[in-house]
Amino acid sequence: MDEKFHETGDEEDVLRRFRFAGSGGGNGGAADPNLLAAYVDGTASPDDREAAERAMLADPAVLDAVRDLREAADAALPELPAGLIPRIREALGHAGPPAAFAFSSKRAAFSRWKMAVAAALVLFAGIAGYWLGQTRGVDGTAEEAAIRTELAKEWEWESYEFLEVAWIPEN
Amino acid sequence: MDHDGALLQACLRGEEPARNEFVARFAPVIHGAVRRTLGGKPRDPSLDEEDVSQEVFLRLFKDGCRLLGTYDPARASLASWLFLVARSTAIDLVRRKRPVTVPFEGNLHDPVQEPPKASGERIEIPPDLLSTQQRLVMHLLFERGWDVREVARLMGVTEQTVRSMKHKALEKLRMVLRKETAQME
Repeated sequence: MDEKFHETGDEEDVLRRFRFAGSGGGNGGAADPNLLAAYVDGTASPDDREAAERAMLADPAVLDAVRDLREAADAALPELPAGLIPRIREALGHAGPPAAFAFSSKRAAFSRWKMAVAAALVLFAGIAGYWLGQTRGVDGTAEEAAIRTELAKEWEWESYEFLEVAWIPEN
Repeated sequence: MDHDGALLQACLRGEEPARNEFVARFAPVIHGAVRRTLGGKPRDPSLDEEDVSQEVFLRLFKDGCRLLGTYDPARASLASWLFLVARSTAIDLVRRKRPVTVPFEGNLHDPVQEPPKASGERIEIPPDLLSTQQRLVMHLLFERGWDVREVARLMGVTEQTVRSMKHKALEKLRMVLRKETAQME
């Protein structure tokens, strides 16, 4: 126990005044198994590590899940009951023939469709841009000529006089 | 791509031999997770480990492997991910099969019990005072009563790191208490 310790009382007194759980934010138990598995595997990024720790602080169920996985990783796997594997295979067979990961194929199809639309949009934008550039270029040239003519005129002193009349003092 | 990765991809493509191999390869992990989760939990006697293990596989491959497809091989090992999925499936099934209870009608005068009041008023920890790691260490050590070794194991750090985090957190908390005391005086 160091000297500073005596200034505020013992460790328990200090700790009794604060609450740590539930204060770290987190997503209330809906922790992604990828996140927690990466935490235990030691492959989580620093941000993911922090997210997993926040989830553990916010939800005891997440903490229990991580603890269980840690313990299981160190323990030997139990003996499989005889006949379990054929039973599971049979149940899966009854459930229907295996189907390809639907989301994956939909996502791939969506990507192809998205690429086609993006290409069409780029082409359209290019044509429209070229057309606008051409037409506005003609107008712009006319406007530019008018501005140049206006600027080339001699300065008229009356305009200063006008400014003087228009100026209103604050007080 | 390693063997598990290739096996997973073949399963996601809907190949039956791959699915059969997947079952043989990961049944021990899933059954182990189910056994660990159900062990010691009060549950319906009809809910047995083999049924739950089978249900985990059915859920993984249901709707064109929708659940299995959420596994991200770039982030974690398949075995760890499967363990967590099996565990949460087991918990879900235990909850669903929980026997219906009859509400107890006694002691209706005080339905909500107030928590016991602390001897001293709680002080709000300033938001950025402690890191998430320090908060977790303090929570596990002092609110859960774990020892340093258990905390180190959970967090995947050394015991010395845990002691150091605890020491730094305590220093910061004492500083806050000192300020509070000074303000009151």
